Amino acid sequence: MKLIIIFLNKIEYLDDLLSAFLEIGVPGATVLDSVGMGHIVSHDIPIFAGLRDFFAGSSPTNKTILIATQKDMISKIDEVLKDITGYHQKTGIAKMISVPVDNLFGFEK
Amino acid sequence: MRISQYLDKDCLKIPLQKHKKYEVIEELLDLIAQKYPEVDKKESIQTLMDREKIETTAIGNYVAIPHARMKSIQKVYFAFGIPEKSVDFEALDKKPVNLVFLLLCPEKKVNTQIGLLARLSRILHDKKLRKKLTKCKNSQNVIDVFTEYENKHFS
Repeated sequence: MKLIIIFLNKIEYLDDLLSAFLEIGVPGATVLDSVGMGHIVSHDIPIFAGLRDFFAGSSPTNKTILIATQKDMISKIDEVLKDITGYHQKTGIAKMISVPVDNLFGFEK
Repeated sequence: MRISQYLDKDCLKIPLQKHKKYEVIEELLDLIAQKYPEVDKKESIQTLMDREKIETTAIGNYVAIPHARMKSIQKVYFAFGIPEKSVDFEALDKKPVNLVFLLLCPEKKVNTQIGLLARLSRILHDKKLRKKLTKCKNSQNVIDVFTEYENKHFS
């Protein structure tokens, strides 16, 4: 079992992504509102206000998508994310990581 | 990244003679410009003022860190001073400032600037450190205080 974490900067892709996940058999995901560190640092901590240009790519509204899934779904999810966002070709759109899951509690058998 | 490694005895002044925000910034800049003639004072002051216009660099708790990133310099320049009287730096907490750090960084060394600002603003939350600094009578005291503090808190 794996936990896939997708950091979606271009949130306009969210609806298409979730629809596509349903199509490929992802039964559920958790979508969190998130904010890039650069945005918080440069807008909420005055001493870093001069770095706003440096952190310009740091979006004020990201989505973080969490998906607990079988290992064989990783490549499918990557394909879908790639098709919809083109995130392999260009930075700043999305990032995806997967990490091992040791235990599962509260999931359907 | 240690603050103490950037401290230059000739760029530390106690007390500063000026009493107004922009004059204090200029007085600190003079220390750097006198020792390092490669630093363009006119460009530096303009860049520092431009930065102040974005938002005050007075971080609260009587501390200000005016800073700028410049294309024309190749290394970090750092100055520090304690004004004779507290200075109104338009701080968000409305408190006057009595510890002023001035930082000039090369345009390309953004990470160094971020690291130094982060380190400085974080350690200056420590009331004991601020108290020790305000009691400094000369440049060597300042270097000793930072060296001792960083040896104790950072490996």
